[in-house]
Amino acid sequence: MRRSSRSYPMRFRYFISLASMALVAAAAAPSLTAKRQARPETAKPAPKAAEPSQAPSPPPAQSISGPLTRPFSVRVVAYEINAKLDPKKKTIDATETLRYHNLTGQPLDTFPFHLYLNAFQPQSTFMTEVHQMGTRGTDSGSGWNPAHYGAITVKSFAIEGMGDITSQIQFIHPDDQNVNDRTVFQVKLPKPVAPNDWVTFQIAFHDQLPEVMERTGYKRDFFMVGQWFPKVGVWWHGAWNCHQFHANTEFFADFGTYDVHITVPVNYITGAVGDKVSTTRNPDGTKTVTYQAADIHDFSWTASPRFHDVEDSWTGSAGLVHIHLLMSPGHESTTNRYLHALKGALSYFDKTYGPYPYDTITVVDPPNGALDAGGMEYPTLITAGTSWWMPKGVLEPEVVVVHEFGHQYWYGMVATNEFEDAWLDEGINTYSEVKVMDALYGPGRSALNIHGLTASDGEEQRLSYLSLPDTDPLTRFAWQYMNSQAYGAVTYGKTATMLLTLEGVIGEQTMQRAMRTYFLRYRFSHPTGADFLNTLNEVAGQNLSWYFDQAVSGTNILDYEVLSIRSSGVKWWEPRGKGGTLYDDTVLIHRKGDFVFPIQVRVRFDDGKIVNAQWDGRDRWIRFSYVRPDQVISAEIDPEHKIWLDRNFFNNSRTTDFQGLAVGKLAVYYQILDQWAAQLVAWLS
Amino acid sequence: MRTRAASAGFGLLLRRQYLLWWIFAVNFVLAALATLPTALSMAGVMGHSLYSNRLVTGFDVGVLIELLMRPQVNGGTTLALFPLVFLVFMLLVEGGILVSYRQDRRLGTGEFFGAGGKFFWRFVRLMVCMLAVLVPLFFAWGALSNWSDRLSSNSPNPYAGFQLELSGGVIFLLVFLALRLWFDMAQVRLVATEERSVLRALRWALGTTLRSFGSLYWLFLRISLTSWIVLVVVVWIWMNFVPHEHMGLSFLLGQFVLLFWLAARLWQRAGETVWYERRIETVLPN
Ligand SMILES: [Zn+2]
Repeated sequence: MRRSSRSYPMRFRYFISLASMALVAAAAAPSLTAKRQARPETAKPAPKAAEPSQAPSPPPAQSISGPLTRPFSVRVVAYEINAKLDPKKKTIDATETLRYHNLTGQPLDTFPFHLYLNAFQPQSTFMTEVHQMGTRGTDSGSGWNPAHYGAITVKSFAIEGMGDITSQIQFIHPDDQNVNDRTVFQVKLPKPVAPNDWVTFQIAFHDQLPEVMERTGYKRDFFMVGQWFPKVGVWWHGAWNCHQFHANTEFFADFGTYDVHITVPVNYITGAVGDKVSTTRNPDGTKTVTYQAADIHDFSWTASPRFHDVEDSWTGSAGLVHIHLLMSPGHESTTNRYLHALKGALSYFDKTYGPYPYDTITVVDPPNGALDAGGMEYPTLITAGTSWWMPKGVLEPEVVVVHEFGHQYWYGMVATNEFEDAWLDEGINTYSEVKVMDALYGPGRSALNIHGLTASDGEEQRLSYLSLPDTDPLTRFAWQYMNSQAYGAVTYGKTATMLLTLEGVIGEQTMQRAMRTYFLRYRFSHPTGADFLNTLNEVAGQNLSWYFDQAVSGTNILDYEVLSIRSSGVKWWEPRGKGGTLYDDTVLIHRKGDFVFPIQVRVRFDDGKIVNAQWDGRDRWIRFSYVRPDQVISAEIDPEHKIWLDRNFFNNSRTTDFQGLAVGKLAVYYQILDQWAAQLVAWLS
Repeated sequence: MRTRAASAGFGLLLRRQYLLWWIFAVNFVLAALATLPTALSMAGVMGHSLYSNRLVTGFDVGVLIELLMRPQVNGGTTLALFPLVFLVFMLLVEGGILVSYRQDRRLGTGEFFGAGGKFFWRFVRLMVCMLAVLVPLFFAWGALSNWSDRLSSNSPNPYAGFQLELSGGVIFLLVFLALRLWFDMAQVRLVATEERSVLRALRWALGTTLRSFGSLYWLFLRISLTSWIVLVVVVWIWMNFVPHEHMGLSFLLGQFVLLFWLAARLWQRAGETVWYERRIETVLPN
């Protein structure tokens, strides 16, 4: 998901939030464990061979780069859904058959399910948090808009061989005990499902879609249908993992297969996760379109009579990929920009991290007024976002496509728990987004490039991090962040900044190898933060815990400054010019923050000579002294600009000469604008 | 006649150009003083930092945002205050300007400020009246803006909201210019007749402006249009031909536009004065 849709197109961005959340540990549902500890990353329990939905023992990196064979994943679930859209009432009536493979190694008699659409109700946990903290598209304190009402009702719930147990449905609230939240229910089976057995659930349900909000819903005759069906939780680390829908959280599900039949009016153009395998016309003026997909963990679809389906293709190391770009009216000028960004991202990821193994990718361009459906990821389907007037140099549509495509890797295939480890999908993906944008559009101008007005995507992430740098560690559960702004700043901005800085520590090539190893090793599984950090340590060939303790599980602030530079004659007591040619040159460096980081200092002298100095950065300050025949003119910490986490780049250098050009330039602009403003105001006189 | 009023106004502007240069100098110097605290605070943060170079050869927006995030950087109170100070200054001198145009001669300092002071409170009252007239206009603009937002969001036509806002914006601008013309004529009337009642002057100006709307509005509008065209052309030249590091040229272009805008406004006032003398006073001698 992209955090910036609200502030399109000028998105120097982020979210205003006021309230912090108080959450109570879940006790109501003993069969569910929402892991509660705010944690430093710990090694996960030793995996059992019979628990494939847990992360397997990491295979050695060299054995994982061979060609993929189907099935790519351990398929725990098989969904077959028949859904009929009523475009007038904005409703969906559907039946769902879910076959679940019990690979947990133990009998299961309790199953939790997500009913995400029930979040769009005023007393839900999601809406309460949105009201308190705001989220993308909605300010904190906003009133209730009845158009945003959404609901999913389970009309019947049966188990093959065990009968109808609709009456057994019980809403549970594992995260906050909010009895009005109906986003998770559980059922207790009449008899347990034995290890390695399959169980088949037959569910009939009814959706009332909200006017588009938080990735899903309708706008006029456009439908973006996400998180719309009862979805079973994930058995993970010896327990069910099935969190309520929160303002800041996304999703987590098991891999499997989907066979979905969507009935819409015949003039509607559809797009969905997976491959379109058939279209059948029905006598009532509708058509049924069937989509199938395997080795994925979610399914969403879209429909509109106004889409223009732009088809294209791209060939990567795993073969041909069909591209479907569903463009909305008025956005034609962005079509080629989307395609360029998408193909660039496909190529970069393919080359850098590993193959894109699916044969399709669909990009949905929401129509005007539906940007809240934009900037979202589903397996093989992403939503973008633009407007009819989007200037060429504002690279927002490109950033969104690159970001959402990146989720095919960091979420789609490396399917981390988005509720608990948001940094592993959003953060790693934002780092990848920066790398791709820099590669495609040039470093320094990968977010904005208009007539010399530039901004880089990496710098934008850093500034986002700097807006709230020390409230929450990366490892915080998504819904436990101080507020929505902190979630955005840390999960997206800080993770990207932390990884860019790490790249400076271990080198770009090593970083690429580490990311590739992590992807190839953990694709089609549910790794944890420890898996990621262990992979980085392993590939870097060093223990980086000194860094991770501060940057990942800590909230330390990194800020080194050049406190002073000074030259004075060695024989300072003698009159000037008489003391000979030697100077005492000193450079005083100060560690302002509590983040300890080794730094390089570049000292420049007035004869043009440069001296580089190293410091382990541990003490609070260090003084570098030189006795030379020339005077120091500047000192610069991190001259190659690798330490992205540094809070203040201005104090990283100091010169003896006044650098007046930039100040003068800004002063001129400010003055001209103020003179003009004054003339305009004088029109009142 | 119309052309003659405009060109005669332009001649008057040129003959009394000391007024233009003088007001421009005040606008420039006061703005420079207002900018100084912010510039000094920025110099404190980046005056000795190599990082500031990213703003010299190009314009890295990230660097500017990081600069503005530093608590040491002055928030720009004086920058916000300056337009209000300039507004008061203009209220003080407009009486002198109109007398000078009317008599087509250079007034002595005492005479000039005497005229400014004489009409100051009447012009303040006129401004209050104008604000009162503008309030419903602002509300109407707010309503149109909301309507446009709703249209942007709800209409299947992606351009509908923008089209409404653009056409509404043009209409509001034209209405605002007509209002300004009405109040300008009231000021000319006050100076010409030394009328004490602002409301009477307004009533007279409304009737006269409506009766001669075509000639007066065209006189006023085309000067405004000229200033907008000059602004657009100069910004286009600046964006396409002036390298970022050529601050001197940017500065000169900026000041040229500001001088032209000020000149255009004084040209309007001179044109209105000439129009009044020829169309009103020849019929109704003072
Ligand atoms: Zn994302």
